[in-house]
Order: sequence, then C-alpha cells, then structure tokens
Amino acid sequence: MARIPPMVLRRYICGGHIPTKGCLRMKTTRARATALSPVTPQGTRLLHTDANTAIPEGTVAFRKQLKDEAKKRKAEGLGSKKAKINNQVLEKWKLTVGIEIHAQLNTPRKLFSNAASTINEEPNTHVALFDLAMPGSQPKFQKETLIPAVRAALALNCQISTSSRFDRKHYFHWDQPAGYQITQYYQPFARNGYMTLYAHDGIAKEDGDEIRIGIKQVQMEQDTAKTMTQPGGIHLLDFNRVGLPLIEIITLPQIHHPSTAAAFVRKVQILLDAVDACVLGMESGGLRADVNVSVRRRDGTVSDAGHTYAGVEGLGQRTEIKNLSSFKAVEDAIIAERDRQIEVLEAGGKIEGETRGWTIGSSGTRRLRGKEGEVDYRYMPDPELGPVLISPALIEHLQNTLGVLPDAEITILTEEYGLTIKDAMSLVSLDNGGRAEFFRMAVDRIAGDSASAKQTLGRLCGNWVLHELGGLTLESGETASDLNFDASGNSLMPLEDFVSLIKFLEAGKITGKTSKKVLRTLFENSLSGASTDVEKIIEENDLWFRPMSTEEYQNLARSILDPKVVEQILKGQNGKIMFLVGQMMKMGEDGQVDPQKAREVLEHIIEESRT
Amino acid sequence: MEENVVRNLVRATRSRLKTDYFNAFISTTDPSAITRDGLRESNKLGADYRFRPALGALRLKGRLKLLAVKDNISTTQLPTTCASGILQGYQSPFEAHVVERLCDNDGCLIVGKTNMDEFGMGSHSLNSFSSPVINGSSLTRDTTQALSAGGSSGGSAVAVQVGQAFTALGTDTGGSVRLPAAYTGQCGFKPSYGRVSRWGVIPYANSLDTVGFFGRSVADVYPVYRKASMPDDRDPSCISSATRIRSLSLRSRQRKKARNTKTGAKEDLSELKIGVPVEYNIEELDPAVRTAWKKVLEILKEQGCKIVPVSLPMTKHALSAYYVIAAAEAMSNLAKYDGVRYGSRTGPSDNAGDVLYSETRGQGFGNEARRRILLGSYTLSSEAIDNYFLKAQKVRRLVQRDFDRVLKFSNPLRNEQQFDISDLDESIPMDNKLGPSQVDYIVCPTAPTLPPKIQDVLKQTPIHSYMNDVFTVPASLAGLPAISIPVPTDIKYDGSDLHMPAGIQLIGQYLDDNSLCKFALDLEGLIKQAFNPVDPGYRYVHHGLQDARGSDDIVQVCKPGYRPRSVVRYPATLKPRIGRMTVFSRVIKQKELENFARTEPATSNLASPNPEEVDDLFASTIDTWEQRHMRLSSTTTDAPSQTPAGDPSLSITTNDPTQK
Repeated sequence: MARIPPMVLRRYICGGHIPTKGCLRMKTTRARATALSPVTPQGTRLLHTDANTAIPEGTVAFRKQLKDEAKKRKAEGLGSKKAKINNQVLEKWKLTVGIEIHAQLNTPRKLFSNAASTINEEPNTHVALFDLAMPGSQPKFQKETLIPAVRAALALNCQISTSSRFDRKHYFHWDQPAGYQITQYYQPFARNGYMTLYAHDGIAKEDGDEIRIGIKQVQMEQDTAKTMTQPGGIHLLDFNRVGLPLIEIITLPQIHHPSTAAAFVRKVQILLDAVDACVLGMESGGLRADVNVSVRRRDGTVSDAGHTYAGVEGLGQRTEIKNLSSFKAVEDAIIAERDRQIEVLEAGGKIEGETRGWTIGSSGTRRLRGKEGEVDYRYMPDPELGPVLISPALIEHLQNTLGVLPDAEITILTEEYGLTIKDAMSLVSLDNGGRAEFFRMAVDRIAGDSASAKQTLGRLCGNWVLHELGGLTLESGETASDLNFDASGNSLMPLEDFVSLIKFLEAGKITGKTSKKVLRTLFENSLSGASTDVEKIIEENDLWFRPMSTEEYQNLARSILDPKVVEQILKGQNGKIMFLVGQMMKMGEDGQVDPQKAREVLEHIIEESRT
Repeated sequence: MEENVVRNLVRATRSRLKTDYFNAFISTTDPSAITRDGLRESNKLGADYRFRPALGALRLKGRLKLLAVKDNISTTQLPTTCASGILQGYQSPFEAHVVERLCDNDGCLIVGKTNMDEFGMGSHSLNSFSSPVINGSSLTRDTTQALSAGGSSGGSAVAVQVGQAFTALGTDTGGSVRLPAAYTGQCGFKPSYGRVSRWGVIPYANSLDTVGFFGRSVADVYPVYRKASMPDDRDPSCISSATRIRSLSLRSRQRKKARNTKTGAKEDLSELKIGVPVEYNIEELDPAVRTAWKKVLEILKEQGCKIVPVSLPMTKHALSAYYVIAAAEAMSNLAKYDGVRYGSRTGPSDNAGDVLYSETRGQGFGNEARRRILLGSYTLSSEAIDNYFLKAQKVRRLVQRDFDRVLKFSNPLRNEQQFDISDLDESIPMDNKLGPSQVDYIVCPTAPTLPPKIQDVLKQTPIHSYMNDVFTVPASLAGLPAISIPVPTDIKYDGSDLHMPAGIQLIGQYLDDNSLCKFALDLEGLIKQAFNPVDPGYRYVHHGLQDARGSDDIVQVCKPGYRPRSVVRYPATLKPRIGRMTVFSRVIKQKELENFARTEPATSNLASPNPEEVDDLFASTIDTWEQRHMRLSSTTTDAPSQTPAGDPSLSITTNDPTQK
C-alpha cells in the first residue's frame, strides 16, 4: 500500500489545497474532512483553490486528526470490506472498465514554453506569452519533458515510437486560453504497453493471482489553467498551471472488477513515482483518472452490447466518469455507475453515452452532459509543431537506467531478504525507494554473501528500517529535517553506524531496548553534527549488556512475587507466569532481563514454593 | 543621401500619410516622427547581403527605411488589430521578429499599420473592420470606378503604390502578397515558407503563412528581405541556420553537376531553362495578362533562355485543397479570440450554454472570418475530416510533388525523388526519352485578370472571388518562393485609357530564394529595356524615388542647391538610361491625388454582404466543395489526361517563340 510521505501531506495542507466546498459548506464538519485524501469533490481539474482556506490548527492537532482518521478508516475499511467483496462481481452482469490517467510530468519547464513549472507559487507568476495564447506567440517544444515521459512509458512496458506528433483538440473553456489543447491523438509517443497486477496489489479475488491490463497508448499533452472559485459566482484563473506537461495513460477495456481498477490506478502511481516521472501523487492533484464504465449481460442476451473499443468487441454502451481524484473514488464511482446502469437496463431502459461526475461521499454518479452536449473535438495535426523524433539510443539509455521497478524489487525483498510482502511494499513505497535502498545496503553489509543470513537479518533489519527509523522521523517533531532519504539511500542516518548498531544487537551485546535508545542518540548526534560512533556512544552511556547472575534473577523474582498469583499458577493458570516475567522485565534495568532466563528462574522458585 | 532629397522625401511622405485617400492604413505613426535624421542615419539595410555589386551603389537607399507594416504583424508602437472587430485596440506586448530585425539599430521607421482583409481572409482587402482598401490606380473614389487593390495585404501594396512608404511588410497565405502586388503594379515577394520568422505574426493558417515584402522593384524588396531572413528559434517552423547552409551547399553541388563543371561560376541567363506551366493558360485569362506573359517569355528567349512547357497537373485541385486547409487552420487559430484576456468583449456572459463568449465571437468577427470558421469546423468534424481535410492534405503533397518533378534542383527538405515515367500523367510533355524537362524557374501570371472593379467584386459569390488565387495558391501549398513583378501592356484597361501593368509570377525551388531574386532582378532590367519608354504621358516619378543610376535628371536633382519640385516629369522624348535599378512601376502623381480627393467618396455598396446571406453562402460553399471533391477524388485515382483549355497561341509561343 502506498503511504503518503508527511512532506507531501504538509505541502498540500499548508499550500492550501483544501477543497472550496469543504471550506464553504462543511465548515462544521471540518474534522471529518478526509485528511488522507483531501481532494476536491469536483476533481482537482476544475476546483483548485488557494483562497478562503482556513489553515488547519497547528500541526500537532492535525497529526492527531490523522491518527483518528486512520483509525476510523481502518474500522470503516473492515466494515466495508465485506460489502466490497460482495460488490466485486455480479451473477448476471459483466462489468467492463477502461481507465484514462492523467499525470503531471516532473520537469522544470512547461511543455511548450520555458516558463517554470511550479506547484504552489503565487498565481499568474509563471506564464509565458504562449501560455496565454497571445496572438503571434508560438510554441517551443521543451525537449526535457521527453525524459520523464519516456521513462514512464518504459515502466509501463510500452513501445516508444521514434516519431510522434502533436495534434490540437478543440473545445471552449475559460481554462483553455488557446481554444484548443495540444495533445497527441493520431500519433502518440508510446503504444501497446501493459501492466501486471498481482494479488498483493489489491486486485479483486476473482482476478486470481495476477492479471495483465493492456495499455493502448501513452500521450503527452498540456494541462489547463486552474480555476479558483470565489463566493458570488466569481471564478479566478491561475495560469501558472496552463501548459504544464501531462501524460495521459489510456488502458484497454480489460478491467472487470472495481477493486482491480483502484489497484491499477494505485500501482500506476507507485510506478510513476519509482521512475521519478511524476510530480505528486493522486491525493495531491498530480494524478487524475477518468473511467469508462459499461455493463453487459453474462448470458449475452442483451441487444445493446454491440459496441467496440480498441478492438475489443461486444461491449455495452459506455459512460465516462470524469476527474476521479482518489483511489477510493475510482472504486466507489465504478460500483455506483455499474449499479445505476444495471438498474436502468433491468427496468428496460437504455444507457446513453454521456459524461458523468462523481462526488466523494455521494452514493451515485451524476450526469454532466449527454451525447448531444458532447463536443466534437475536431482533432487537427498541429500545423507548426514538427514531429517529435526520439532516437533509439535515447530509448535504450533510458531503458538501461530505469532501475529496478517496484514489482521486481518486491520480489527481491521477499525472496532474498525474507520480508513479508506487506513490509516489502511499504519499504518500496517510502522515500522514492531510498528506504529500500538503505535497507538493502545495510543487510548486505551485515550478512555478507550468506543467503540464509540475509533471510534472517532481513527480517530484523526490515523491522528497524521500517518502524524504528520511521519512529524517529515522526517523534522528532521537525518533519522538515526527517531522515532526508534520497533515491540512492543516503540519509541523515549514517549507514556504517546503523550497521554496527544492528551487529551489536544481533550479537546480543546490547538489548533491543538500549539499541533503540542508541539509535535516537545516533540520529540526534547526526543532526547536531556530533560523533556518531556507536561503540563510543554505548561505552559512554555504559549500555553494554551485562547478563545478570542467577542469584540476581532470583532476588529480582522474589521481590515481585505475589502470593496470590503464585496460588493461581499453582492451580494451573500457567499463563500468569508470563505476567510475572513481564513484571520482572519492567523492574530490570534497561532490558537486562532475558525473558527466557527469567521464566526459568520463576518456574524454579514457584516449584519450590509448591513444596 | 543628399540633404535636399531627404527633406523632400520627408515632406512628401508626411503629407501623403496625412491624406490616406485609399484607406491603406489602419493606424499611422505621427507624421512628425518621420524625420530627416531618421532617414539619414547610416542605413544598415543591405549592408550584409551578397548582391551588392549587382544592385549598385544605392545612394538613396535610406528611403527604404520608410516601412509600412501589415496590421497582423505585432508592433509595440502601434496597435495590432488584424482589421478585425475582435482585436480592436489590441496592443501587443511584444514585437514581431521581422519588425525587430528591420527596425533595430537605426533601421526602418514604421510609418503605420496597413489595412487588410480581416485576419488575411480575402482577396480584395474589402473584408476590413476599417474601410475597404482602394487601388491607387482608381483615380476616383466613385464606387463604380474604384478598383480592387487585391488582398489580403492590399493596404501594404497601396501604401507603396502611392508613396506613403517605400517598402512594406505583408503576409502571404495563398497569394496575399503577390496578388495585391500584381493589382497595384508593385513588386511582391513571398519567400520560402520558414525563411522569415513568423514570431509575432498573427496566424491565419500556420502551415501556409509567410511574411512577404512589397517594393517598387525587386531591387527595393531584396535588401529588406535579406535583412529580415534570419533563423529564429522562437518560431518552430523557421528554417534553422544549419538547414540554410545545407541547402546552399546542396544547391551549389547540384548546379556544378548540372553544368558539368567544377567551378560553379556565376549563373548566366542563357543557361537557364524556364518552365511555362500549360495548366495556367486558362480560358479566363485576361488578354492583357496573356500578352504580358508572352512578352516576358519572348524577352527571356531573346536572352538565350530555353523556354519549355511543363505540366503541373495538380494545379486544378490546389485551390480546393487550399481553402479546406486554410479554413481548418483558421478555425483553430481563431479559437483563442474570446475577449477574456485581450481584445474586445461583448456582453458579460451567456448562460444558455457553458460557453462564456459566443456573443463576443459572434459580434467580433466579420462575415468572411465567420464563414471560414464554419467551413473549418465542418471540414475538421469527425464526419467530414476524411473527405475534406485528409484529402486536401494529400492533394497538398501531390502539388509539392508536381513542383519537385518539374524543377531541376531538388527540394532540400526531401530526399531526391525518382519519378517513374509510367506514373506520369499522359498530358505531361516529354523533353526526351528520359522524361519531362526540368527547369530552373517557372514563369506564369500572378492573377488571371487585371484588378477588377470593386463593384464587380461585391457581386461575386465567395467561391468566385476565391478563384483569384488560382495561380498563387500552388506555390503557397508547396511552400516555394514566388515573386510577382509588374509587366506593362499596351492593352488599355476596360475601355479607359489606362495602361495597367499585369503581374507576372516567378517561382523557384524551396529555399532557392536568393537565386530567384537574382533572376527577377535580371528580368526586371530586361523588361525595362524592352518597354522603355512605356507611356511617357504617365511616367511620373515621385521626387526622391528615382534611383541615382536611373537618370541624369536625378543626378542633377541631388546636387546641392537644387530646389526640387515635388514631381519630376520626364519629357516624352527622354530615354532614361537603362539600368537594373530603375523604378518601373507607375507612380501616382500628386495632382492625381488631389483630383482623387475632390471626387465624391464612396457612399454605399462597399459594405460587406448581408449577414443573412452568410448561411446560404455557407451552404452553397459546401455544395460547391462537394462537387469539387467528387471530381477531386475521381481525378486523384484515375488521373485523366485533360488538355488544358485556353488559348492555343500561347502553347505555340512557348514551344517556339521565334516562329511567331
């Protein structure tokens, strides 16, 4: 499961990507506002706003809110999971879904002008003449945008066309200054890709262990301006976003279950993140999905199933749901739309080809415009932009430097390093893969070439890298100076020292509890620039593990013995022994008490008292 | 320049700018900004071109600094409105590359922004939000007599014609520079597509738009063009310097090969092969135009050029293809005018649909713009794109192929093509058993007729007026350089005693602009020689316009202490010395201007067609295209062998002019 790094959360909360609607209408229910997916109900495409947003009360309160929210979600998730399982498949009807994902490319400049691409700058400060469609200005394709675009397409197993072209897609909207969007309709730069989803990606049970979803094409296009809705029906426009480079990923209609659709979108995000192609994740508006939904009867008796898309035949009439901005919205909207279509068909009605919208928290999709309101986009090859020629050498270079993709990495982590799939996925999704890199370097350093050592040490290290290091980050209170992992695994935590710490722990020279303390000291020293020599820290604080003598154990055991408990134990409640062991461990200094030994001593004493 | 000449030049230009009888300008610079100092400064124009010896010492080249700019080329000094209601008062925040190039470093003075057809859509400069342009040869503002100046750059042509400017910038999409040049008797040059940066030129149809140049003679146009032609990376379609160099070396290699020498010495007229496209000899060709065409060919023949008939069979489809492509691109380019960020705005919003600006666009665009937007929207719609837009693009390729096959030198943007003789149309004459002849340049009329009367133009259907572009559109579709030069005729214009020059067009291979200009320069001199004196009664030369080498009189004039008259009149007997530089076009006399001013101004009939007719026109337009298209699809597949209709005398002339 993808986690959202606190940095990202912070950016959009303080940057003010709080839904307008949420602020204006749901002020009283602010606490309920989905903290983990603070997206606009209308989709970020239309309703971004910076104004009128109360900055949430202090970070601490927010974190608490996050926790509560997570708990609540967990509870809800458990509750709704049952419902979902029933929801994934219907006896009589077959669902077909195709998805279009828009993702903002990670480039310093816009697609056709050298204005900087920014996220939360002051409105209308990064706009070139062409972005505003000033008469007489002309586009200039920024070659640099190709690199993340090609990387993304390669990660999606696409064939890259050495020659592709830009087309104009015409429609009128105030967020589209030129009256057309430059996109790639006739000759996209990448085609015929696929993505394999596994059970651990969260696909529907019915899809088995893995399913391959075909990708029809990946194309580059321009983003639109950001509309900021003001009270009184006023719309302000921020042209900073206009012309930012996007890629649109279009799948084949090969998805048949709602949760698979959500898993697909989630995995696309992880993948784009892994190859550093995209700016931000779905929750912060860098990724948006449109879904095409159709249903048909399984027995094939329905007359309406004569539609075709990209060579797939016998589909029902589809409707498009635009601007879904969270994974949950994808799943819920598909379920709602499927149910609506079935209801219409079962009542003898007909599905209209139309565009529909979805609001988070609603129970159904709503009609945005029908076929008669559908725009004929009048696609035309752009008459002044030349073809984009990508040399095979560049493709090859990018392919070779693509790195290990998350799927392959998870396989390595589970098979070689003995992690669970869940831990492996968490590790991979953190810090752009830097955390996983750190983990692997550490384990390799400790375990050497021994494969079995890797397995056992992997589990231990995984725990430490995931949870203990993660704990440091959260408790330090200063999220901006967290471990600062970069993609190659360098961070504030010196690898060497971390390795020696784990070595001491593994050799039993320090206890788990003390090693956590040492870890914190390491982190603080590293922040303040003090010495991070583990051995020295342990020495100075006198933290070496000294095993207690049997006598000391006995003394300790006697000091906590409670006659009542002893009686209970003697009556056969053996579980109570562990309670006493716990007491002993609490009493002992710094985890010096070895539970195994303590139990032996306790049992011995109790046996003695029996007689 | 000599002091008194400059003074006179300044005075004359100021006065002519103040009285804009022919509606040549939409906005003008304050005449007091035109100063002697501005013209006297060392002129950078022409300082960096290679043909200086051929042009001679341009003692009066400072006059070339008086530049008129078409109103669709962005300037920061004056508004840029494209003669459209929707851009009224629009002040561009940046300057077009071509204007930057020409005006930097004490370069040109912009005298004003010239009138045009709205966004360049039209062939007579009547579709203007401002008043319609009138040809300077009209000599009356009476609508029954006023002549069309041609379009869409009619204002620029007239400004040069009546001496308000000495060079002018226009834009040529389907003949918008060459046609007005032909109608007003000026020289108009459309360089190869991409030679001059379009940055700042407000697009009508991006894949066809080219910045073009007007002047009284090729010698005036050429230095301005040379100065303006520069690589510019802000225009994605502007030819890069690498390609320019490559095309030069390719050309020189091919020339050496063709002449079987290694020296690549200077090209001589007698070595040239001139192509006469048989398809252009149409029935509707005006006798005066045909006479001028024949005369030019005879002159070239005398010089030893080989005149050969060539066939450009796709010409008959070029016009339909052009109007499909141009309308489609226009629809796209004009989508940005919504009155939200700039331009005029009507009505706050309309709540009927989702669109904020149907009202603004409905009010802002003129009829012709609306017609082409509708047409473009239709031809690009999902139901029609296959039958119209895609077919038109294919025709465009075939038109380019036609030219590549006929021209001797290969197109530097494409690999050299081998043409299989069996693929060729039967009507194409063979030179020898190896195939049809390949020529250096193509010589043909610019327009089928002399300038029509405006009242006749207004009676035409749009389709009919589109026909004016029939000879200019093929070169535009192929992106080739083409230059229109005036050729006088002895046939009088439509019952009057006027001799109107006809425009003759020279077309060269892509990026071969320099050689083409040189050829035009030579031809200009030869025409001058052949026709001199044209019609002594009408040879008036604006003071200060005449080139130093042109006549002894001017040399006199330039001497200190000489008090010039505003107009120099040549005695009928005087034979001015022949030189390349002589200004050839007929210049309007000051007295004529005054007479003109006294005539009754046009009161009616110049208005655009009734808006209600637009729908009908659109329907009929589509019908006509429908018919054309049927022909088009059948001919592209069957390639019928049609002998071109027309005057057989021309083909005799072209085959062997000496027998005539």
